[in-house]
Amino acid sequence: MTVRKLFTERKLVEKASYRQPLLATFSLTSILFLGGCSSEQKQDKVEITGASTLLPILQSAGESLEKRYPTLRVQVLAGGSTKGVKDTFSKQNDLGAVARELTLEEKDQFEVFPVAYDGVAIITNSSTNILELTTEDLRKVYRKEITNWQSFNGVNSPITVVNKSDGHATLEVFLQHTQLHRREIKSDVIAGNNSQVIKSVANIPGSIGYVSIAEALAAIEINQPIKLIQLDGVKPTLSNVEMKLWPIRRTLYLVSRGEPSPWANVLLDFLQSNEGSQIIKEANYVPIS
Amino acid sequence: MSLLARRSEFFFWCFITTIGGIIPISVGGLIVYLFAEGSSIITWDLFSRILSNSWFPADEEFGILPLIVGTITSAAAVLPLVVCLGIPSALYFVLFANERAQTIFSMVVGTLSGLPSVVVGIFVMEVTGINFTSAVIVLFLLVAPQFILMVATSLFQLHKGLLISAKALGLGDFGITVLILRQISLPVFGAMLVSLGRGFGEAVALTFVAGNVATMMPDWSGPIRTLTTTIVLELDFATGAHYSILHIVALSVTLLIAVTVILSGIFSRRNNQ
Repeated sequence: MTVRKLFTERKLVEKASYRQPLLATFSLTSILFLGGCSSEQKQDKVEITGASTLLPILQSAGESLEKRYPTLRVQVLAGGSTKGVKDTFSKQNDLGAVARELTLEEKDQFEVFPVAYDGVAIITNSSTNILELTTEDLRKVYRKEITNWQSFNGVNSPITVVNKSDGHATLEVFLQHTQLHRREIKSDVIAGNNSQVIKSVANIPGSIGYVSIAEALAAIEINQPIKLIQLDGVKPTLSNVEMKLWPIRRTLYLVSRGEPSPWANVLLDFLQSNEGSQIIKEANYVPIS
Repeated sequence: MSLLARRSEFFFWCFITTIGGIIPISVGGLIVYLFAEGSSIITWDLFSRILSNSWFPADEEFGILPLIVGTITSAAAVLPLVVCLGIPSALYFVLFANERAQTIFSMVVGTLSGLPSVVVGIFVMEVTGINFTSAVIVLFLLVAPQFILMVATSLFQLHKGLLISAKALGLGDFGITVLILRQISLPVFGAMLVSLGRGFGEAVALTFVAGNVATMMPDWSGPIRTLTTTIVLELDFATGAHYSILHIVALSVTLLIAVTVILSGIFSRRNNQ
C-alpha cells in the first residue's frame, strides 16, 4: 500500500468521523419530513371539536360511519362549547359541538344543526334522603341560605355545594334556569367537566351538583353513589325531557362556518336517520326528529 | 492538530452548543409566548384588577390574588411535613439502614416519585375527601420523594472522615446526626426550595382534591384554588379576555417557580464554596 493510498484512506476515515453523524441527522430529518408530508395527504376525514356532552353521540356515530365507509375517519376532540365555537370561527374543524344556546353573532356566522336535546339534572350524594326540590330551594342552597339537609326534612348533614367553573355550558344553563348570578353562588367545590362533578358528589356525603342527565344516568348504571332529584314536581327522565316537561333543558348543536364539507354532511344526515336516532337514545339523549 | 480534526472539533462544539442551548432558549421562548398571549389584556388598570380578590373571569373580574395565596399557602403548608418526615427518612436511609433495607427503601421512594400525579390525586380524594388538607397530603406524596433523594445525595457526599472523626471524639448516634445536619443545612434548604417549586407547579392531582374555590383565607377543612388548577379547569373553555388572563396566570406560576429555583441555586453554590 503506497503512502499516498494510506493518506487518502485516512482522510476518508477522518471525513467519515464527522460526516456520519451529519448524514444520520440529515437522513432522520428527511424521514420525519417525508413522514410529515405523507400524513398531510388528503384523507376522508371529519374533524369535530367542542362540547364533551356530545362526545358519546359523536363517537358512536363515527364508529358506525367508519364501518360503512372504510376510508373515512371521524375524529372527535372534546374541550368545551367555547372551543367548538372558537375552532369553527377559525375553520380549524369541520364541525363544532356546542351544548348551550348560540349567541346572535354565532347564529349569523354559522350554519346551525340541532342534534339532540339534553336535560341538566340535579344530583345529590346517595346518603341524602331527599327526593325532591324546587327551583326556589335550589336558589337557597346555592346561595347558602340553607346549609343542612334537615331544613328539607332530610338527614342531619351539611350541604356541600358543587358548582362548575366559568365557561362551562352546563353552568350557563343552570344560571339561566335558577336566575342566579354567578357571584351569588357560594360553592364548596368547583369542578370542571360533568364527570368531575359526578366524582365529587359521589365522594362527598351530603353534596349536591348538576350535570347532564345522560351522564348522570350512565354513572348510576355503574353504581356511582349518586341519585337524581325531582325538580318542581317533575321526574328527571328522558321522556320528560322529550315532552319538554323537565325544566332545565338544552339543545345540543353542531355548527359549521359556511357549507359543511361533504363528509360532514354525511355525518349530519346519519344523525338524522333512524340509526342515528337510535345511537342518540342509547347515549341517553333525546333525538330532535 | 490537522485541519480535518479541527473541523470535526468545531462541528462537535457547534452540535453540543446547539443542543445545550435548546433548554434556555425554550424557557425564554415560553416566557415570551405567555407574555405575548396575555398582553392583549395588559392595560394600566390591570394591576389593580388582578390584585382584587374576586375571580369571575366570565364577568372580566380577574383577581388572581386568591389564586396566588392558594398556591403559596398549599406549597408552604407541605414544607414542615416534608422536612419533619423527609430528613429522618434520608438519615435512616444513608446512615443507619443495612444494605437490604437501603435497597427496599430506594425502590419504594423511586416508585413513589415515579407515580403519575393523577393516581395520587384519585387515591387521596377517595380516602380523605376534597379539602385543603387533602391538597397538602397530595403535595406531600408528590414532593417528599424528591426531597428525600436530594437530602440523601447531600448525605452521601459528606466526607467519610467526618464520621470517623466524630466517632473518635466519642460522639453517639444523636451527636453525629446533629453534627451532620449542621453540615448539610444549606443543601437541605436548597431541597426545600426545590420542593416549594414542585408544589407551586402541581396541577392535575390538585384539581381532584383542592375544591378549586378561590379564597383569601384557606382553612384545613375548606377548599382552595391554585394558579395551576385554574389553568387546568378553565383553559379549554376560556375565550377572549378570559383566555388571555389564563396566560398571565401561567406566567405568574412560571415566575414563582423560577424565583425558587434561582434561590435554590444560590444556596447550593454557597454550600459548594
